[in-house]
Amino acid sequence: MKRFIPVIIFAAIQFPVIPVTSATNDIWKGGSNYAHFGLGLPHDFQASYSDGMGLYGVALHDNRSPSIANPASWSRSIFTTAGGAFEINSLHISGGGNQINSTQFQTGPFQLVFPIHRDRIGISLSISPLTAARYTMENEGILEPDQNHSGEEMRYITENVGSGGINKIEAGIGYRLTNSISIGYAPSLLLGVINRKQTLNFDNTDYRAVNLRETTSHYGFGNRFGIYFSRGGVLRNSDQAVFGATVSLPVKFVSERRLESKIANRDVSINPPSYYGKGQTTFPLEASGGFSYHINSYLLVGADAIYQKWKGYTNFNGQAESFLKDRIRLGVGSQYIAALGDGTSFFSRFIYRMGVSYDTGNFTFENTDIETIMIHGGIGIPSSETNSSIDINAEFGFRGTEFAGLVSERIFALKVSFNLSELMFIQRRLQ
Amino acid sequence: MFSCDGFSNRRILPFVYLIILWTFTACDEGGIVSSKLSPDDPDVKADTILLDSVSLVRSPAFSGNLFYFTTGSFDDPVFGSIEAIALLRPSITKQPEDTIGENSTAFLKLNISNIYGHLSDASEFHVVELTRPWRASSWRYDSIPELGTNIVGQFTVQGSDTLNIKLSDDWTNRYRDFYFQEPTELRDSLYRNEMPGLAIIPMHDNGKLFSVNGDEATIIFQSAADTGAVEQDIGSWAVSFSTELEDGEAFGTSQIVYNTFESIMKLDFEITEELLGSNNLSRVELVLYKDTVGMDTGGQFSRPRSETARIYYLMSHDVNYAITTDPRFQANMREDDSSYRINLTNFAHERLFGSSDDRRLYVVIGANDGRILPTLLGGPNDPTRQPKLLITSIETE
Repeated sequence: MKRFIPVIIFAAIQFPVIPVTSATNDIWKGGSNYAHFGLGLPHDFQASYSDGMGLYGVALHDNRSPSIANPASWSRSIFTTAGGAFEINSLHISGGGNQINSTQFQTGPFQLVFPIHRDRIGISLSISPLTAARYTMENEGILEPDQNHSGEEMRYITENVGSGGINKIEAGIGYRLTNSISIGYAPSLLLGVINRKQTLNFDNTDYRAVNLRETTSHYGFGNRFGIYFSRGGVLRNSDQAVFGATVSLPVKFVSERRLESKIANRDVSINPPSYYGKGQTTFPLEASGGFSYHINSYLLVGADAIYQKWKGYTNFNGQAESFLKDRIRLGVGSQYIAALGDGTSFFSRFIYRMGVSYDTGNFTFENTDIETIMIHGGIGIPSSETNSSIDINAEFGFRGTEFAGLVSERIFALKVSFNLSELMFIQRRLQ
Repeated sequence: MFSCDGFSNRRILPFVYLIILWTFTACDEGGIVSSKLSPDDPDVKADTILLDSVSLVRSPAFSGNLFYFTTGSFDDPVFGSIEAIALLRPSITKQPEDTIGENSTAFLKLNISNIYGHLSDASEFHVVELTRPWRASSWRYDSIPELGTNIVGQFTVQGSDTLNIKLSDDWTNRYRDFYFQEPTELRDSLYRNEMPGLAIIPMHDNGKLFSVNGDEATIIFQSAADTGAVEQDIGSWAVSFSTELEDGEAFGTSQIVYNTFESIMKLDFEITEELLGSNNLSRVELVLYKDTVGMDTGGQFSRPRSETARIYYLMSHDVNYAITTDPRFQANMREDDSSYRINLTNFAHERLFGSSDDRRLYVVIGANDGRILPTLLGGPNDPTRQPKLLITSIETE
């Protein structure tokens, strides 16, 4: 347990960075042009090992690393595990004749999994981002000569800055019913604040910059169910096949919105929450399913899919959004654990992962789906004496298109995860 | 086998993560313009509010010891008949080495700074004695001087030269008597009471007013034997001023304002969110127009002018003392449309978010400097020159 202490302290320091209550910070500037729609862009990171394979991870389990993907898989826990991830996203954005680069830093999920009864009952505590609504966009406007005092056309820039997102705090349990079948249940609290700040800066210093800041807070309670099936000796003695599935029920948010402006160094309420009434935002249903096949202890292949019913999303006013569509994400990938072998070369010390994913996206603009195609790769650096590891994953791909005046984003992401794995509350026989 | 045990055993793993984070932290190049994907921008509103509640307030200011004193009369076809009387009280300071000899001659020396009226016409003025003591510090433009009948001097103004006005021997000799009075305190007191001063009065229809820098006006006592001269400055001066306009409707709804506070434009409106339509303001601008058409006289005479609007923010009962305060706003006239544009943005914020009271804006054109500067400002119901507020804000709905 002592080994966890500095990590827990470190995680506690990092934890406020997750925008449970978002704060504007320069580091969040930029971001995807698609992030200001709905509740922001979905965030799929569930486990470092599945992410390296481009998978959601619903049919994967690794005793060295925790995973949020499937509550049922927590029943297979043998070690107490803790994990956290940090992510750098670099976007090269093209559209409207412009090209810019933008870099974002994001904290991934933090999770603790405790085996209450080893390989039978496990519980998990986690906090993870579900959506991120961080962006910065600028538009130019003109005040006509008869609308300003200069007597000439006057230019102004509207800067739109979004921040925040929806996060999930989840506590769940997994229970192994039989040797093959586990089930899990995870209630959660979804909460978050989405800020949209608009600032108008005029070219003429006689005009004061004006701003509007819309803050919408959400919270609601979610329920997630999972099932995990594994069976060895399917095609050969040393193999194992795993199937997994989860479903997250839609969440009715209690939402509150206010509109403020910073005027003469005062926060002035333009429209208080009572002006809007209570919001009726609905976070959509999500289902996932997949399988993995462990050819042997070194090699596995897997594939999974998630489905998010964004057609069922309702905005603050209780209305559906025409630009939203149901989302399907497909992933296929594999993992090779070279470190289990007897090799002595440098390359035999790691775990290798790779995969591809295709995401239909949940947005449609100009009759065009905002699709994402990514290739994923990762390296795990395991410990020989403990089960802890560091995973470094990279992904590269494209989102959207420049067609019909839209925006294409070339994405490169680097993710660093720590996974600590310990036997707790058990006297080790050998040290 | 390679491992990370070295890190974790030393419990420095978190710090390694931090280093990795710092290594990859980067910045943005900025936003991208893509109207189809941008959030809906707030609309910029540019509203105009015509100010109907405009009135004139009369509160003649103090006129003593200002930069100039003015005298003369002129019948301005726009502003009507204007008459001003200058009040002067020469100093009576005696230096030990100075003396005013018998039969000395006194000259009042005036350097004309500017003229209001017909420059080249000959205009006659008389210098008469005042018969009642007065104090410059309490003299207002509407104060009425008590004039004696004795003419101490007379002169004609034609052009704008320096004037040397010979004063009467009687006045000079009486002055000389006080000049040698001892002690000093008695001399000053007797002089103020017995010789209250001089007034320069225009003869009827003399066709011009002229202004003199008070600090440059002097009285010179020239000895008969031409043995030297004693110069006394004008220690106190003031102006009495009256105007009479026979046809007040000659220029429609435009309003006459004087720098002397003889006539002040009062803008009677309260800054509220209801009036402005928003409290999220980028600029609030008060626009006043000079009625240059109404003031146009075809260049037949000279009329001094100021292009600076001075706007006071006062309670109504403080208007009489506006001269003692600094204007809250000042703005120079914009030549292209003869407008005065005053930035009220901060003022509006103060009014919207601070405590309210009954203060209002009062407008004059030109500083109260002893000259007579009338100006015609556009008034209500004038579609092109009505005072107005230009409000630039963003829609908050």
